Amino acid sequence: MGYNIAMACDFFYPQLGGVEFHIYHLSQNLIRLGHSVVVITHAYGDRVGVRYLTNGLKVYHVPYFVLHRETTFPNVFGTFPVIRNILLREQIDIVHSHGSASTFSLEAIFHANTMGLKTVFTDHSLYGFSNITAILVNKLLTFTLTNTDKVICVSHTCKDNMIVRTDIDPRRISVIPNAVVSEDFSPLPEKRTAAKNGIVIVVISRLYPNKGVDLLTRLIPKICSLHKDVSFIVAGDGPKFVELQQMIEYCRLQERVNLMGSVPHEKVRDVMCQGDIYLHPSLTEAFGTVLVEAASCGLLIVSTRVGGIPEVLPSHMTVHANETSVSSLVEATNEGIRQIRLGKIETSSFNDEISKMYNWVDVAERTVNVYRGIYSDQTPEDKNWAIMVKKFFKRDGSWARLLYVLCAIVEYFIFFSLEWLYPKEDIDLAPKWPHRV
Amino acid sequence: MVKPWKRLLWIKQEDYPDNYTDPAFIDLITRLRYKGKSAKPSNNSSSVHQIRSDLFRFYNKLLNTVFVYIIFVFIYNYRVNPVSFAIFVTILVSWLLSRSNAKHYAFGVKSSLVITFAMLTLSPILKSLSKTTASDSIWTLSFWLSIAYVGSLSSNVNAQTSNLSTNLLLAIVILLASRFQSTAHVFCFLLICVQLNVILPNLINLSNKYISFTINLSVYGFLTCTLGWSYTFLALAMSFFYLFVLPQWFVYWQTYYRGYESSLSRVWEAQKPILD
Repeated sequence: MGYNIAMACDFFYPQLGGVEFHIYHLSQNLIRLGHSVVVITHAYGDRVGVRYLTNGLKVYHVPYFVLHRETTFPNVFGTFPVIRNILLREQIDIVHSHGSASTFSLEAIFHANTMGLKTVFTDHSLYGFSNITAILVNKLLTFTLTNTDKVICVSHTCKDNMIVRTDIDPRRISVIPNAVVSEDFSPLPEKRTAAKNGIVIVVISRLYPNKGVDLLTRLIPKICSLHKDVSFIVAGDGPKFVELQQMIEYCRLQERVNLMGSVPHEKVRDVMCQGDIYLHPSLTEAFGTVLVEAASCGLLIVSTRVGGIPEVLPSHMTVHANETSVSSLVEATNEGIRQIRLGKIETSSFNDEISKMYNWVDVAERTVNVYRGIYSDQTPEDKNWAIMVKKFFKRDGSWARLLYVLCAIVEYFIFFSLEWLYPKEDIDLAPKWPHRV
Repeated sequence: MVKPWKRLLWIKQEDYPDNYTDPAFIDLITRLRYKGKSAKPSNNSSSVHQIRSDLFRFYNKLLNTVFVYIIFVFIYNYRVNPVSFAIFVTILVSWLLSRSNAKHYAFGVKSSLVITFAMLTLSPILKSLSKTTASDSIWTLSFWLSIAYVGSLSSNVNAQTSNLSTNLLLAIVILLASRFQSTAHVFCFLLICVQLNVILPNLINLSNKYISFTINLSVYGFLTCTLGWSYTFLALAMSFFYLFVLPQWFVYWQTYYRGYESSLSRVWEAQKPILD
């Protein structure tokens, strides 16, 4: 008998991105393993209410006020009535939330703990400690994870970061990487010959400052002047797009740099397959799924060595720049170009290797192991309200902990009012999608 | 024989569970945060002197802003004719202006004249701008705008004055000016405030010993004459806290409370791009 799992996150289809794909593929593979999964997210445009995706993956689009970049308005208690209703309707055992910047996911964990359900949290990004956003998110996460049963991080660097940010027992944190569907990122059947056509360097990234676009705008002219047969394809959009455009016009590189703008996700593979080298100048990265996707397409990876990137790919697929400087990146790119020219590296085997390293079946199985771990490690007091309040009081600074306790107590009052207003017995149970064994 | 654990994601490490933690990392953080949350004193905290001089610079800007209200009170409450003072300030500013950059003097004079005539033309309109509004609303509005103005000020001496703060200052001045009875008062008030708060800080260093002393003397002197000693005492206590207690406190916090996080390696922060 499988678990009834609810995935909660602000970010889900129709928006596309790393977290969204992670939730989707993980859910699909959990369904295949015989579990029942629903997704709880906020409404996107007219996509309100219940929708079904492939294999009966049920998605609840809750109408809610969206504050900034698809994140809903944070207020600790606001989602309690609707989330309680969904969790009861679907007879959920485990609430699995994703992403620390998502209000929905954090609130869902808090409410599920109050209702005595098991909770898991997956973090997909790194946070520093020296800016106000990071400080607020860290405080919020410290609060939420106090009573969360298990935490999953996408890389070891991400786990270290999590230990320092929220001060929770390292044994509660598992590392399970992201994965790719290697069939969707397969190389072209006939390999392009770099020697004849010249070398093409691909960059696919949202053009934000933290993706290292400043490095890229200075790197491209240098590489173009060093090598006459090298051209660039830059895909993606963002506030730094204009700077790239200006660079191209200033250096007269229209012939050699193809600035594509944003590319739909299903076209990403086709763009990658036009190149020989994938360049990733990012300044921060928890995992870097795009690197795995590019390697799966048979590209040599040239990248900075930030965050979790050194953990992700074996050394024969990558050339790392030692520091986040233009000169160091130019050096690494030269090395990559040299390797391609010599034809030393056999990139055609990358796809097979990647499919063995990172696949969603593996990720789903390891996630189920984490779920099993919750039940084997549980104690009867885990979800006892008094114990949970005690734990809140032991956390963090002298002001924060009082606030935490206050929030918890208010939450319990709301729980009673909801039990009285909408009794548990009056909530219809949703029939489960018939599962073929 | 168990293989040693590797910090890699692409190999399957069957001997180690997913929740295995790098012992080296656990060692590192336990060494850093012995005694619970409070950690080893960190060495790389800023000097008290540096922080105080930064705060002092902002403090002087703040006092300079208070002149808007002092001049307003003189004209509105004490019925002082501002014309002579306006002429004095204008002569002072244009003298400083001609001294500091003779090159742009001609240009400066031209644009100043344009702005002055614009203000002259607008003065009658501004005078009648808030005829139907109660004075209390004006005081409240100008109070909140002043808070916003102070918030928009930059303590960096090299930074250009932002458009936002200049506009906020103009909004405050215009609001207050609309309470006056005569067009000449409105014009003089605008002229004095713009010169004192927008032009003057660019020409002289407000944190200079003598200038700062003059500013302090006039603000606290005015406070004592109008509101009495108790308010002056309160303001002085606040300034003392701001200039002497706060920097000490900040450095103490940086040394004893931020040590843990600042001494950890910076792999998690977005790295700085080195554009060499």
